[in-house]
Amino acid sequence: MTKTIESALPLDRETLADLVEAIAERGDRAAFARLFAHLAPRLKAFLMRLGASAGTAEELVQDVMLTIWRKAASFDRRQSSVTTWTYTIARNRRIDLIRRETRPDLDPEEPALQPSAPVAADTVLEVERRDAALRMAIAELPEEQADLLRLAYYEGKSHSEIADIRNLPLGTVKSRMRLAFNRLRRAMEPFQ
Amino acid sequence: MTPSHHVPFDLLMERAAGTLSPAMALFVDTHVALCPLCRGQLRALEAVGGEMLERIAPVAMSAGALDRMMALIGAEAQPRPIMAATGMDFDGDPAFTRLPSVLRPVWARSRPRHDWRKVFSGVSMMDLDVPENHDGKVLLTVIEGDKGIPRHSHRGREAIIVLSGAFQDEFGRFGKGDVCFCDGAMTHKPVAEPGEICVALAVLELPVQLTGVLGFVQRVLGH
Repeated sequence: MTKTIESALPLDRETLADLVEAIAERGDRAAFARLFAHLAPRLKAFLMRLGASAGTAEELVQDVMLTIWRKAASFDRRQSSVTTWTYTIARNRRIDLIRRETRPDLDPEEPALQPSAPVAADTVLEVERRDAALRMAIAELPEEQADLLRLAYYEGKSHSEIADIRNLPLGTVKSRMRLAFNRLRRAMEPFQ
Repeated sequence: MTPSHHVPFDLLMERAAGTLSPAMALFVDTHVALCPLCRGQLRALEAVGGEMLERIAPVAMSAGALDRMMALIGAEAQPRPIMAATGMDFDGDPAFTRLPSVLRPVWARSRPRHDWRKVFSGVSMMDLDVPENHDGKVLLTVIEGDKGIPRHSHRGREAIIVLSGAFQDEFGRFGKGDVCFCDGAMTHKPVAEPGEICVALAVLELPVQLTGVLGFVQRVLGH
């Protein structure tokens, strides 16, 4: 039987990718349980920040994790990290479910699950180092830029909604976002 | 061929954060499918989302959540390798074979409910069903070589992406993957290049308004 391992240590990027591949190759349930322990509490927090109740968030987490189980073979470690892949699945499911407030079946046209379009060789390389550089750059963003990133990614606010919430002109929101992403892009540049 | 007219970076940011309408998200996904440059940009922006997910303070799942999850997948067979959508019945539709794979399921879902409508000589359009698209339209347009759409203005904003072939208007040449944005202030008269048919996807906030006498024709045709 599975044991609850909510307090497991965070897993590193390579381990996460190994787990998804173990699921894809042999339906490894132990690997899935470890992945769940790492991802589920983060997904739950993420979905709650986006406005879901604790109960709805857990249902969505189950949905996203089920998608990961079924579609593990579409994950490609050369193109993204497991967290980024998971993020795109959760983002798209969140749009489906919270906005429509229905439970459509798993969308076969879900872009994150399509066989990946080929990436230029130079963008495939160094994804791991790019993500590490990105992580540092996010941590070092000035607060006014980090704030906008949180509103966009965690709270799902469009640029015009952010302008209303922060009482800023839309142009200021867009230019601050751009500044933030330019910083992040510069940090990632050597690896692209 | 890499497109030369790209979606603005703002749209890539909003796509990555998941804050676009489904219609605009489909538009961006279509460009990204045809443009390696923007694909790389979007991937980087999604990596920001991944890092945001990694950094968030976790909230513990309720007791028994893992067991419920394992029971759920226990009922499932071993995961299957994914396969590209195949075997879709496309009725020999010449537009279908020119669609990027991101649009094919949308086409297949819409086709039973919408027919191609001949709108002008050499120009046909078909509606695509996209969720939550109450105040807009998503249209596939086929323009035969050398044919065009009469000069028209726009009541709302319109985003167009070329999927195959090319058209020209007074703002330039638009080939595969190129996008163009029109708003109320401008009129244009797109004409397909000779030879190959031009297939384009258009996302309209409000129906296009034809200027002049053709506006009447347009209303009659129910476009």
